[in-house]
Amino acid sequence: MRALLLVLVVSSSSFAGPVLVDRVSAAVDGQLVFQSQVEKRVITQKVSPRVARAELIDALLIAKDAGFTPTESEIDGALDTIAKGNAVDRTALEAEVKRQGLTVAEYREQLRGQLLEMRWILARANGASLKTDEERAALREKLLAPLRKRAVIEVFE
Amino acid sequence: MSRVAVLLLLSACATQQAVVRALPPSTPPPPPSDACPTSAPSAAAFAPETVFGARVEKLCLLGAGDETSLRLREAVAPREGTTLDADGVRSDLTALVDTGLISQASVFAESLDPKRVVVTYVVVERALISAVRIEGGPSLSAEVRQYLEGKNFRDTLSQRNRRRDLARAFYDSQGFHDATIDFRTAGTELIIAITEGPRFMVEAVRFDGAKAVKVKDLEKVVEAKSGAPVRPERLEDDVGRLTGLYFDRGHVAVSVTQQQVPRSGAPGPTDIVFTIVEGPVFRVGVLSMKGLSLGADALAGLETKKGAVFSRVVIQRDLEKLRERARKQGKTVDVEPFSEVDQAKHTVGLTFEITEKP
Repeated sequence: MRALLLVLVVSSSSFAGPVLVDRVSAAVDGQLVFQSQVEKRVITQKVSPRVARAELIDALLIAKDAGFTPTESEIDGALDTIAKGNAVDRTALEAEVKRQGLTVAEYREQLRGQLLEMRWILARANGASLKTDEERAALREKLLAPLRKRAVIEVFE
Repeated sequence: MSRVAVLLLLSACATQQAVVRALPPSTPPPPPSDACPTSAPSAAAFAPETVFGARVEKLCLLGAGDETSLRLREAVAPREGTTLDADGVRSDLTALVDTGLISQASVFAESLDPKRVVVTYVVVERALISAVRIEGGPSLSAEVRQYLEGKNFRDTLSQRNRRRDLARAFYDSQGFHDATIDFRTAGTELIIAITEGPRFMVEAVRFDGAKAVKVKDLEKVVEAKSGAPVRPERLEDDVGRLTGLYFDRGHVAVSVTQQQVPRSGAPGPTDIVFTIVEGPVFRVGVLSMKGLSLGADALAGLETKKGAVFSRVVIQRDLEKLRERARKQGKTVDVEPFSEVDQAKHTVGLTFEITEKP
């Protein structure tokens, strides 16, 4: 039975028609958002493709405005903090990351984006209160509005 | 487990039967061809993992004219013969878009066998623009309007960016900070849609907290003027100039911040408020020199005197005096002023360090 199943699977993948490997989903001042990034975000963040793409566009706008990138050692530090916070070691944390459908490299990229956004908001807060999630979200939107307005954003359906 | 296996079998059988019905009896399914497709796959599923790891047997390019195709092929040609992977595909898409010749690009792959694939790039060429139409934007100057217009150019990102940046710079300079500038194409026409939004104009400039320096003197150093457009990007320069003015009058602990305060509920009329915390006046404390000697009376010849009100501009003049004195002695020197602030006594001690340049 197992052998038969294997034959069927191999045969159907060999003769399946063309598959979409990737595509440009959006461009922000020439920087690209890929369909593969959107699909990954849909799975890991459990959001719609439209929301996933909008979030990736915002991430590019923030990265461009921030003008800095968190270093590998800062990401390692964040990983250690997360592992410690969950009372597990790095190996167990990485296993959990894989279980949720991400590679370690993809998870590190996500962390890089989160760290960058956090530092960007802090740098732009200019004394504004950031105590609650609502305050942070409001400031984020306020800061993003002019960036969205000023960038050339092309979205491809 | 056995239930899952049965379900898989059933679904695989259903697919197989559908294929068999479409073919003449006893005809085997045709082997996949390595010829390039003539049209873009219409309903291909996103399934990159089924082809990653296979060797790229052939590259195809659809959607571009002959001349553009040649240039695009150059960008992706190295992929042929390599193993297909996610990073390589993204790198190809970036290289294609970076040519500036296309806007959209998709990558499809079809298996020839489990180890080989034909990869097809489907692109959308950027249009050749025959005319530019500007929608909205009544405040645009004739000069800027003329620059935005044009004909017979390819609608590349850099062409759009250049026009966007120019229009943006114009609107910022005129106080239209909420202006939106959007692009779209209709056939060979590029449409620039402008919504200007409110115009932010300075109603009044206020200097809250200013006591030691007259408002008239403060007004002289700031660029913000009543009746002029609000220029947010220049307000920090104004803050720097106000801070410098206070520094030159001994207020070395001064703090200046700026705020744009809307006059009414509706956006537009704006007060520019500089909030100044002056702090005490500091005087010059102990004066000394170190490093290369320029003579015993070098300090005495300086404008900065112990007990005088601290002034940055006077110190700058003294630095030049010391350099000049060295030149007269046939030496070229660097002069660095080091300060020591005494918050309790409100004094600033100064040491001029002099080093001879080789």
